[in-house]
Amino acid sequence: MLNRRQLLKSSSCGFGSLALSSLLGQGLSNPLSPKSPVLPARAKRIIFLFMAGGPSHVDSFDYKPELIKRDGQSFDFVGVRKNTFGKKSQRKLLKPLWDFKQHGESGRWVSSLFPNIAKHVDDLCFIHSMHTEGVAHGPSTLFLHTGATNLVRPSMGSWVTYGLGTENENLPGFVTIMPSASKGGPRNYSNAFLPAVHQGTCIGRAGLPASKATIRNLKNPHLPLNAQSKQFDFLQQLNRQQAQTKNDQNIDAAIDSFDLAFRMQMNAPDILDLAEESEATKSMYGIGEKATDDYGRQCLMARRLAERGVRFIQVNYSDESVNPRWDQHSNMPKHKVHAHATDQPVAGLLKDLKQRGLLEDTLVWWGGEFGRTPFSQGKDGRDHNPRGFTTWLAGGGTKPGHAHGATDEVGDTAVSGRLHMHDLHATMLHLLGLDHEQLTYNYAGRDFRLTDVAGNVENDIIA
Amino acid sequence: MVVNSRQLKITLALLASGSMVRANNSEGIEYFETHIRPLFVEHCYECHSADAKKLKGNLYLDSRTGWQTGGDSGPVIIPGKPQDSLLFHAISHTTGDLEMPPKNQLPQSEIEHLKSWIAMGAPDPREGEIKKSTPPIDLNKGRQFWSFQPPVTHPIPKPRDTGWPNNDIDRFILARLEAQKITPTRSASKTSLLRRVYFDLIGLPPSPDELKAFLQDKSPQAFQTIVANLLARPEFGERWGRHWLDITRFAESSGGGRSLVFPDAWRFRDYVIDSFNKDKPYQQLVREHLAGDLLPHSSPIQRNSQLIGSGYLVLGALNYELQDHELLKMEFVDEQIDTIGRTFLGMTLGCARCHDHKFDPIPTSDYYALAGIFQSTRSMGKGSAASGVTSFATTPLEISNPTEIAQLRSSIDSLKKQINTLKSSPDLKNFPGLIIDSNEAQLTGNWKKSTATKPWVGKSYLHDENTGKGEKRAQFNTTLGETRDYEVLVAYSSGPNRAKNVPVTIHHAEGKTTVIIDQSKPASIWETFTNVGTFPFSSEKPATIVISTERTTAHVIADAVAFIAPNSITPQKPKTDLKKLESRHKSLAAKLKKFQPVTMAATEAETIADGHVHIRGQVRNKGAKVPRGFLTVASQAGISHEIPEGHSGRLELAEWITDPQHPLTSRVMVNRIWKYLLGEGIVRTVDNFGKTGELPSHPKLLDHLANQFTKNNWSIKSLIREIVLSRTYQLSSKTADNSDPENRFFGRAHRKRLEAEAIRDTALHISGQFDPIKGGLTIRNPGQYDLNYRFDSNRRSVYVPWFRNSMLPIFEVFDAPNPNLVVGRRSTTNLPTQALFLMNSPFIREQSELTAKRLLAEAGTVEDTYLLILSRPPSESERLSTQTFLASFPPDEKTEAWTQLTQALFSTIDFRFIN
Repeated sequence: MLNRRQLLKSSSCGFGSLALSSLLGQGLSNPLSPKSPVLPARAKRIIFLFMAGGPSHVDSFDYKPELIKRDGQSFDFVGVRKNTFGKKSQRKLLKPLWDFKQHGESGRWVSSLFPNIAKHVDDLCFIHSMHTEGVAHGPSTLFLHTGATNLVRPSMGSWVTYGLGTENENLPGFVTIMPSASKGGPRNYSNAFLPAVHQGTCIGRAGLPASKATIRNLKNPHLPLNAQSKQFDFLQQLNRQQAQTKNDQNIDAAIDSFDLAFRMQMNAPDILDLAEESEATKSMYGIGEKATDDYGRQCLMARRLAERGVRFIQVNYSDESVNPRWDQHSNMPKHKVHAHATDQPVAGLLKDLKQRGLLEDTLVWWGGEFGRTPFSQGKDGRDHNPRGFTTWLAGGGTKPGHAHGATDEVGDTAVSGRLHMHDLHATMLHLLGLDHEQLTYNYAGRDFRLTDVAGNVENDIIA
Repeated sequence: MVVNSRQLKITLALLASGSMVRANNSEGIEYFETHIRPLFVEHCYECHSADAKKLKGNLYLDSRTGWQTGGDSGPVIIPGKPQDSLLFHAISHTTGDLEMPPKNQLPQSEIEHLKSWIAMGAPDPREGEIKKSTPPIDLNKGRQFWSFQPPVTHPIPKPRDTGWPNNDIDRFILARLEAQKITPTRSASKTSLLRRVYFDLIGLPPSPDELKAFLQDKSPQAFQTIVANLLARPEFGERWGRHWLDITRFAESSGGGRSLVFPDAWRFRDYVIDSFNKDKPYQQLVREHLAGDLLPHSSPIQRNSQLIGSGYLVLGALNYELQDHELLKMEFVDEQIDTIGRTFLGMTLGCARCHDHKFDPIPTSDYYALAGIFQSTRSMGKGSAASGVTSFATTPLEISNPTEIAQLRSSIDSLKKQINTLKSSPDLKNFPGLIIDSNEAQLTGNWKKSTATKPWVGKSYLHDENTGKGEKRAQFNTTLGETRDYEVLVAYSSGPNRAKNVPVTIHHAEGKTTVIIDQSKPASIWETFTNVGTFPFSSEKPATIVISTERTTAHVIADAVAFIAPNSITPQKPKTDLKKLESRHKSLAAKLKKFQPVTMAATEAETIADGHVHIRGQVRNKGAKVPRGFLTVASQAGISHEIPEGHSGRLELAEWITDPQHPLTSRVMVNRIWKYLLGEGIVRTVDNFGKTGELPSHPKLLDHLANQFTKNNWSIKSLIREIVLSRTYQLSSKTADNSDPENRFFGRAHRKRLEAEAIRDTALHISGQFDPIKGGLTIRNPGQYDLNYRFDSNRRSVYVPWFRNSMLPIFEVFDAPNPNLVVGRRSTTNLPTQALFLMNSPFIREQSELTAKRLLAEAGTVEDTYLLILSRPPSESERLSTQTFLASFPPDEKTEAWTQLTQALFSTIDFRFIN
């Protein structure tokens, strides 16, 4: 029996001569062929480690001695929720639940929540002055992904493939690993009005084990490959007979899409299969340990996809519940569980990317849709905080071991070097060599862009 | 941001020093040169000067006239009044909306310099004019654009070949083809034509028997008969209703973060299907969509149908979770205006929300004239105070057996009254003691009167708004007649947001005692009071009770205090009557809900008023008031649709849009119908008739169709019949003439794609799995959100739950429209995911297997298989290939062989395209 690769070579479908350009039906140029960026590019791809629910910056990366000192004291804070919008009310400060220490040569502060990520601080570029739109998870999560809280806009990954194409024609340019159906769900990886080819492709979904994560319909559950190959040849024979007298590009494209699909079916499963990775690599990612197995597999998959030229890889740490994982309105100690599940996998990914030289041109982005308040909610919880929080970047031309901006003395509001989510989007596009003001798409009579009418590139975080 | 006392002191000190500078002219200019000019140059000129790469907010700060004139938000400096100057608020980051410079706040010292400078009268030596802003839109010039001119009656052209045309449509088409020297291709074969017209009119293929009958019918009326039959079939409304649902961005959930399920949206879907089947005049359909709640009616059924029609306005995609309610309201209005513009007018009105439309002659004032109409419309429900999530708007439908409902309602009302009386006003007439109400209390700090939560004593109670903790106190003073022990009672209305640690201090004969009470728990005495203890009081000394907010973190209530003889009242359990009444009320309300269907609908708002322009689209940046009205450019001089006092203007908007002379409405609709039948529109950008849209290929034909449409009482079926019976529609998709590669002149048929729904419906029909039940609620156990809905229906696709954040995979894969947007033209992609779906999905495999079994059971042949799936017999080469393929399987794998054949046919291009 033939194996997949032999079949690939011997099949009569003419893979080598296949041009993706004919697949897309609308026009001649292939929207996914790699494009040269307009600006000098520092990064070729992005791996986005999405921490759904809003991890607390004051408990992890934003060290605030004043918050520790004033633990239990009450101050006026301005409300952002529907019933308290714009009104001040007294809130009691809650000190971080974990101890902070300085790490690395850069001396960046990290709490004991992330002991492994802490070892890599000299590669990280912290942005302590993030602020964003929306207060509830839905709007803020959509804003993080699409730059809009309510209006329907393409996801950042879609914009990136629209701007840069893909380096691997056998794989989608934008993948999202185990996304949640909640908090905007598919809209977070939707192409919206961009051509459908820029839609994010899901690998698995939140709530299922990562070991089962795959692309939908990638395998035929009934037929072994050689049997399917016979059926496939028959189908394409009929198709060519039917196309003969039609002389229609659209029809040719439809036929060609079957060839590409068959090629994807041959290639993609190999990439998602982690079996060929060494035990050492797997354990570096925490694979095999109960707590870290899922996110470890996701991170390792991300590295494999990055190696093969996928442009935008989102690695979701999320679930399907109304209160997403990092959403500790009560019981802040539960942050420990989530930190533990992600710390080793993320550290493993950073180490692996670095030792393979991939960190050079891969931009790693860690963050949630917002941070959490320095004051307590109930006894031991923290509420959402879009006014100030921390995100970090690594590689891809960012300044290593650097800390940009700051929140106020207790960590409530970004006060210096303020960086809006639009600014972060603009800066990341810039690192990819894309000008966020030029990367536009004309839809229904208007040019749209990821950053709407805002966004400034922040040079302070660029190496 | 945290404000602490240290910062406060610094601010005060700076204020004092600032006010010492006097507005002496030369001194002032010197101050400007020393402190202000450098500040402007360094922090502001980048975006607010003639040299700015990109001027922001239309504001110049490089001349005195610049800040005097101001930008989009008006003058930014009021000399002498820093507190009234927008610039000062922007740089001190006090408003939250506008913060300048955008990234970093200026050092406190520079903010103080600016404040002092404004306070001294803003002396500024910089003379000179600023650049003129862009000229306003010229509406008269705008009206010249073709789509803003009303349709004109054109003479019917007389093409040279008089034998070719079937009707006037053909005369327009042929005349143009002849002018372009294009020879139209031959007519399509009867087989191709039948499949085409079946899919176009009912979205399903002809059965092999129907095909046979048509091929045998040699009468000249054969095709007309088919068309008449198809137009009368209920599947017609399902097919064309689905088109209309695309255009009305219909969905059964809200989309956004928490995608709320709309459990009653199916009524709108069924109403649309029914409207198309009944050939409701388009004019009436539009009126019902915009003002169904306001139209006259002669029966409850008509009333209901019209009300359901107005669901159009409230079915849009919206993030009901947005916490900024003012913004949410405006987002809703924006969605409505943008959708109405695209659906009926083919205009992108949303662009004018932030600035005058850059391409079309639509000034911002027109946008806000429309916005006033929808701000005067109730489009949302209240929602939950706890989660901050707003709800969608529903209205009760009329029911056919009103007596029972009326009785039910009246018993519910009377129950509610009894409950309220029991709850709100404890009967204090016989109260055995002295009560001091909150209106007699001596208050420190701001307390707010409220009657939100029952019960209370007197007319209302007070709460501290959960602010100013520690500084607010409510003091109840009296002198008691006798010197003895009294039991002290404190009244409050309890609730989950109440403080659990409210300090109550009792000043009694022997000093003072502070007791902490928990106001989140219901009070135990008469459901109003809680006992804080028994204390000695003297008639010589004042008896004082102080309710304080010290150290509380939730709402503190001050309602009343009372003094009674010890043990004269015993705490009671909640009144049993009340409990009984409440439970009865609950069960009757549930019963009513069952009897009382609701529908999603818009209604007039409580307040009807003109709206303001929101400068640069920002909700809190209000400009001039604009009278409610419509698009100036598409309104004819002389014809006015006045909005009467007290009307939102929706009814008048509907009248304006459906005026037969409206330049856009009829054209946009006939062009949509043409596109669905011919594959491309006369205007190919079917949702965009503006300057950035395409021009019509046949403007006279478009006018002709539009005029015929309005003349025929806006009948959609008549127009479809006319088009389908034209020779143009019946042409083959093949041609030998290559002079019009894009087929702009309709010299041949455009090959069309089968939509997701048609693929699925056909597969289910052929396999025998089709569930024929029509209409009604099809969401299984509607929950709160559409998250992870498990689709398991075999009904026709139009009846499959249609959610915004969760869609049946086959729809997603085969280009079903994004239900967040108005889609008059679906995209047609050839992505490999489609091929993967056809090759590997369990759905296609299952339908193929069932079809194969059905064929084998009926001793079907290869020819039968092709007739069933492709509605045509196989070609010779196909027959040969197929036989070879089937022969390659061992005899005991017959079912597998035929399953694979069927599946392959579902994947062929002749299945996926309409030739």
